[in-house]
Amino acid sequence: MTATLEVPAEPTDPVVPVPKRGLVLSRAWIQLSALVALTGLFGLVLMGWLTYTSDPPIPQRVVSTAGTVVFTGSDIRAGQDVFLKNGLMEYGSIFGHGAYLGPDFTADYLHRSATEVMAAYGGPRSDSAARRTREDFRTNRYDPRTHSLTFSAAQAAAFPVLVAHYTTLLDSPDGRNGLRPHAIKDPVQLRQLTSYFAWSAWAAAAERPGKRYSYTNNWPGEPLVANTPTGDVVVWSVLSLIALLGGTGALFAAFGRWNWLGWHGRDQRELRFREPQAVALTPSQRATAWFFLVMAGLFLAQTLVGAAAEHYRADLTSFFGIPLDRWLPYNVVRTWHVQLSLLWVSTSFLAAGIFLVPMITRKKDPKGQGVLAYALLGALTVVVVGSMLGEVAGIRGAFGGMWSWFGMQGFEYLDLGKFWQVLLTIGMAFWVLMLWRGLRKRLATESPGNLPWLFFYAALALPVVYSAGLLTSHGDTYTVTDFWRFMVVHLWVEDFLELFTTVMVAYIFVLLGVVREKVALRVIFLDIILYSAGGVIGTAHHWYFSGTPASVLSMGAFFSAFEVIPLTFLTIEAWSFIRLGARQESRSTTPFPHRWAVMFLVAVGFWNFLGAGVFGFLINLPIVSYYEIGTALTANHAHTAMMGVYGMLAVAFSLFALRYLIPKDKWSDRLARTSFWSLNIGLAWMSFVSLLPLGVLQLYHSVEHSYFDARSLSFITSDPSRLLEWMRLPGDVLFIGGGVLPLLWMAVQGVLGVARHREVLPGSDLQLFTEVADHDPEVATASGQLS
Amino acid sequence: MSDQVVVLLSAYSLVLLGVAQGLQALGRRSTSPWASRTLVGHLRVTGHQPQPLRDDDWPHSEVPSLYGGIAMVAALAAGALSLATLVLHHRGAVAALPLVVLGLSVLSLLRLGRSVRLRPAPGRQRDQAAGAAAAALPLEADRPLR
Repeated sequence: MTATLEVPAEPTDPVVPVPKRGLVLSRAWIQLSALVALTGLFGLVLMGWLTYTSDPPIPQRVVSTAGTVVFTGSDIRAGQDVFLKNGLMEYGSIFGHGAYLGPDFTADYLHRSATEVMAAYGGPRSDSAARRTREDFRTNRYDPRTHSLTFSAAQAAAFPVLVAHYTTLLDSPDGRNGLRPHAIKDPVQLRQLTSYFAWSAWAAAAERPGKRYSYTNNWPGEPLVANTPTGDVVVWSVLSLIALLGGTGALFAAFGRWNWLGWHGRDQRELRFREPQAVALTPSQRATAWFFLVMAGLFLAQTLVGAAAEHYRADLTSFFGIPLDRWLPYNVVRTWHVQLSLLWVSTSFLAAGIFLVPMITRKKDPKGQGVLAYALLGALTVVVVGSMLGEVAGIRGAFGGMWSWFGMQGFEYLDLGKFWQVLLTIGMAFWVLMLWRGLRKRLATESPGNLPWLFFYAALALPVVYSAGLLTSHGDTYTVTDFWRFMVVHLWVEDFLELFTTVMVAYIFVLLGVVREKVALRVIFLDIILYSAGGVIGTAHHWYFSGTPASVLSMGAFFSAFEVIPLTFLTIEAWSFIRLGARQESRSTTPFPHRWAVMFLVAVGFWNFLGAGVFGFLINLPIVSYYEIGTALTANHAHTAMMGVYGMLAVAFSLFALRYLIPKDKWSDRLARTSFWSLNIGLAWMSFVSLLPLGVLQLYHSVEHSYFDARSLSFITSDPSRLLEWMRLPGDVLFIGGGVLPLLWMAVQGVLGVARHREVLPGSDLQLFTEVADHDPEVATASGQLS
Repeated sequence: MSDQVVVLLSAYSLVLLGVAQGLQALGRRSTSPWASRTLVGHLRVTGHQPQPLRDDDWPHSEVPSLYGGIAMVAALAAGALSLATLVLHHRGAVAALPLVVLGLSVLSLLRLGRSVRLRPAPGRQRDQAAGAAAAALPLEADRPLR
């Protein structure tokens, strides 16, 4: 017979000091983690220095051999502003970075101007014309003393031809190219924009001083100017494969040698999960019901504008007869789609953090915590609505000289105006402050290397790393702005959100009594070591061709291969997640309440391996990236990794909390199941039926013909492309109708039902499980007591 | 649409069908670690007694729908892709390729549909029986040392 032992509540007598709990894990874990993380940060700083000192220069003036000024440095900088404030990075791309409907303007200008130059020298049948064209583009005629760049007469003559071309494209009276009619009308702006494209094309073909390759490591591939993959591109691709294989083998060996690595259940413990409605909720936890409603609403909005963006690729002429491009052109819906992906996921993460704190401390909220949670949600809503309206108004020319503050800042993923970006950062800092208020007394009793502190550090890292994105400036060269942009797009999203994810999942399992704190801590520190070893320096895999030197390419290729290694192990972890839930359920007399949250965590593991690991590594090799950057294979990785990992995780967090917020009679396993299957099947359909085969066709076209051609509207509107784009429709309908709508309905039930849930009262127990006899004396519970 | 693209899409659809078949086969096997024959050795060494497993035990109850569902989606995707390819390119000998893949997809979908209706699959029951038999084997520790 076993007797039920309620885990005692934390001591409440203020007179008796609570002894500080020592480190649960060995200090060596912390030291090794710190060493690896600092090494990674050193590599990042080194690459920052290389970026600032080796970016392609912006000349003060570009002159022809006859001495005529073709355009000036001011034109180039003003052109970059025109590019950004009109949201053209959400239409096409520059240096391969941006959206996928319009052309890559670097490759486009390079190819078109080279064609003009070759025609001026006698046409493609003339050997001397081919040679002279190559010489014109590859010879670097930038003089650092005078800051002057000299174009050949033929290059200078091509410039006005290209101004006319971009005027036709961007000042089209009919639209029908994804942009609104007369998107840019001002001839001065069109000329400045063309200057910017011309400069980027020059950097892509002119050889770096003392080198045999261009500022962009010979990207894009363009036979007319002899742009072919460099030795670095090929060699570091091979070496990154070796790094992946060697690293994977080493980790397999470590898991074989030390069988305590990874997730392990508490085999000897018998638990009784508490009925979710028997768990009291604090005011701040009740406030999260509104967060999850907002999250689901933003998720729905994101998928709807995503469907509109996708429709542009399937049919450029109209949206089922409606001229959508007049009101919501591609660059607007794509901007919203990208921004909302970050915002709805972040809303869920913020809510999950707030929800978890009282469960960690098992204490009431500090005074006013619930009000602060509502204030945070209100501020978040203001930022979301304000930034989205600002983006549309900015693209239409509002805000004058303040466009980058309140309108469209224009950097993909950092599209929102700087003002909104600052507010968002402050909001996240405010959220950390809220967590600190809730955790303060608990943290005072813990060693700084234990789980509560790691939870706090992981949360604190989010606003700190996100704030690095504030250093992007439209006045810097593209290479420099891209360095800071990827502090958010890569380092924040792929590393620090990943860390926060691991800590949250680990803590939830500990709170549910499913894993020991020691196991959770090992997993977190292993995560820090593995992601710091690869992910931090691996940020450079985004900078292969954006104007950084070959040394940055080599570091990016080699170290980012290590990022894939922990992801391969997630296939093992996914099954472990299921078994952890199942094992406890089989021992508990009460059902495990979080089946569907766990199933979403399994989906996170699956998509992390496939979307981030396999599809990410596919395009990570420099030689593959050289031909495919900005194609459907990039979109394939982006969707399966962003939605597959962070999207599924955000849904898992929401289901975890909604299980407590929704009354028992309103909770529906059927809805959760429908949402799970629809989201996963819809995403799989999108990838396997549309993006993956289309990406392979586009990659083949890029290698066989040219990158310029593979990114052209003629390829995107070709029969095979349109077929594969239309094939996506059933999956998208299932994703939205069967996946998002049930989730929205459950979030509504959470808001309606939270009033019926009992509030936390003095003496209420916030424990999620009770334990039935434990014979293992070394076991420490999440709250730090021996059980 | 060029012949090359038709061949590529047909081959890709065929791969999806192969995945569907593989997943279907996996879904018919028991996933209980204690009933699985792959863990017989572990079972004999540890002596860990298997818990009785019913078909409605979660998450094992989800396995047929997990594998069967993904298999059906893969087969459906293969069929849809080959049908669309056929619509766009139905002339010449190369059109026979998507036609064949389409036929195989239909057969595969029918087979999958039938197996979903027949849950629990005979294979699962057989695996469970084998697992139970394995559990009855004497422990390694009980055997005399050689």
